[in-house]
Amino acid sequence: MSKVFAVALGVLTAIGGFVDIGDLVTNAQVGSRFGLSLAWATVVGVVGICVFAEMSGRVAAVSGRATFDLVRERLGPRVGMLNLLSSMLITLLTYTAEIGGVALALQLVASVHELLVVPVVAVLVWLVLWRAKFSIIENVFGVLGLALVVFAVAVWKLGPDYGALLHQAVGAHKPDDEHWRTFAYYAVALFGAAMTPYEVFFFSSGGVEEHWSPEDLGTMRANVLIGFPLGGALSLAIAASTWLVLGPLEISVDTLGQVGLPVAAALGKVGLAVAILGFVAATFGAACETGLSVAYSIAQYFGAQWGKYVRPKEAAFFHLVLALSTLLALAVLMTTVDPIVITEISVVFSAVALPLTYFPILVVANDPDYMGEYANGRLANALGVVFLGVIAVAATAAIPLLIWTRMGQ
Amino acid sequence: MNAGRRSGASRGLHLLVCAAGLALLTACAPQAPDDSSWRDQAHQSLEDVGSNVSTMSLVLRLAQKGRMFGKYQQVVALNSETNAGRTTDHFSGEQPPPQADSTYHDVTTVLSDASDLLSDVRIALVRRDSSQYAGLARELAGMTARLSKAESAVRR
Repeated sequence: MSKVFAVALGVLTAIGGFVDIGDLVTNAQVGSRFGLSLAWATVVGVVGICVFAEMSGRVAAVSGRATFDLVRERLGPRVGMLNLLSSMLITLLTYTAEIGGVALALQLVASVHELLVVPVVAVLVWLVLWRAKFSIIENVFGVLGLALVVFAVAVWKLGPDYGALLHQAVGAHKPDDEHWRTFAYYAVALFGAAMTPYEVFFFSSGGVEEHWSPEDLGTMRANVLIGFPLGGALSLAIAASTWLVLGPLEISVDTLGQVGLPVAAALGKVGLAVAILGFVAATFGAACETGLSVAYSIAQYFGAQWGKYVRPKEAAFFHLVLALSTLLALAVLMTTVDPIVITEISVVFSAVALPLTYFPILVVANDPDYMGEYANGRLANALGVVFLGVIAVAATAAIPLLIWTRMGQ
Repeated sequence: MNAGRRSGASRGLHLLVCAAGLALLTACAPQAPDDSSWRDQAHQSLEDVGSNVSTMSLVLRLAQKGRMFGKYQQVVALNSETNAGRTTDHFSGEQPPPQADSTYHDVTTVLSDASDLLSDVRIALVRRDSSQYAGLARELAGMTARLSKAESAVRR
């Protein structure tokens, strides 16, 4: 029974924890302009994150060590440093965006300027990361993030023509008034949002925190293979709801407040309250995950004691990195930069950093010295190589498309 | 040899000072795009402000039906007003090509009118002055039509 409960809880937290500020904003922006015609990019991204999250989870369960720890050892300090710098910078950017996202979500109920909310949020996130248990951070926010299911309910309540939606999704029909370059830019952004590097680092380091062993591989795979795709379905529900309500009015999404409007239109105040709860939980949970991921990656690379399973005194370097990265994120946000712009930049640059993040994971998961009988099989390797190809294309196209489309205009 | 190096270094320094001076001078001047990119920017500005006007219309409609919290509608309304104002200010600061003076006047007028209307709607929403909602909704619909017309004119 406890095994079933563990699997169910893991799947629920994976669903609720899948959506962060990047997914919220990008899916709403894409939905209002392109409907479900870019659903394929989300699907490809979800399959990709499943492939690499399964690999990194397996590495953690079999070796008892986390990704950066092994990447440095297996590929040497130079490649390890490249891997660390690229993914850590993106994760730091995402951390900043998530803290800003929590402030924007709270602003929707408090109606106070976000700059007054940001310091409070930063302190709260830091306190939670310092004091709360790992299981609380992972489970509470993950389960509360399920409130975003309200977007799927809103789609159902709006009573769309499901055949037309399916046709749009399957046919990948670009709306006539949009350029192909913008279509491609948002495909890369959706892919980057689904495959953000921190998800893999948090997942594998979390596995070490929870003392996974090869016996936990089944639970881990259920979390990845059921939880992440359902989280992806939640992303598609957000896109569908904005297409149905904001699309006909030609509203382009620039603020978090606009993301909740379809829910208000379909379900009124109660639905809107649930959506705001989902915004806060999803962004707060992701802020904790990204903050931890920054500290995990740096501490693991330098071989310092890390994790929530040891007392802060024993992992002083890890907690120092946590505090400093929170301060840095706070300092960036206090310059009045728009958190939505940080989010948009972070999802595109996430696509740029993907090859440096995922290639080492494929190498380590293939190494029989670490993995023994659990090394990648043919299917995992074939999928890994195919996705590295897709990742390389997305990474190469990301910055030219960003400049060419002036960030998707 | 040393004198030659010094003269090279001095030339480099002069070039750097000139470049910095030029950069400062051009930074003070307004952006002067060519006709095609100016029209693109005009179109984009009209689209952006149109999106904010439509957002405000939706918020007003949902407020009339009592489907939103006061604070939420206040924040969304304020964001729309701020974004539209920013777009209007940015576009007004662009130097139009000489042949587009009349279009510049038409576009900046409609953008400015839209920004003023969004301020009026925000004031009514914050005051919860529901007696004004129906009239403002009609004005917003009219503004959407004006913005669309201006978009078509810019594209011509």
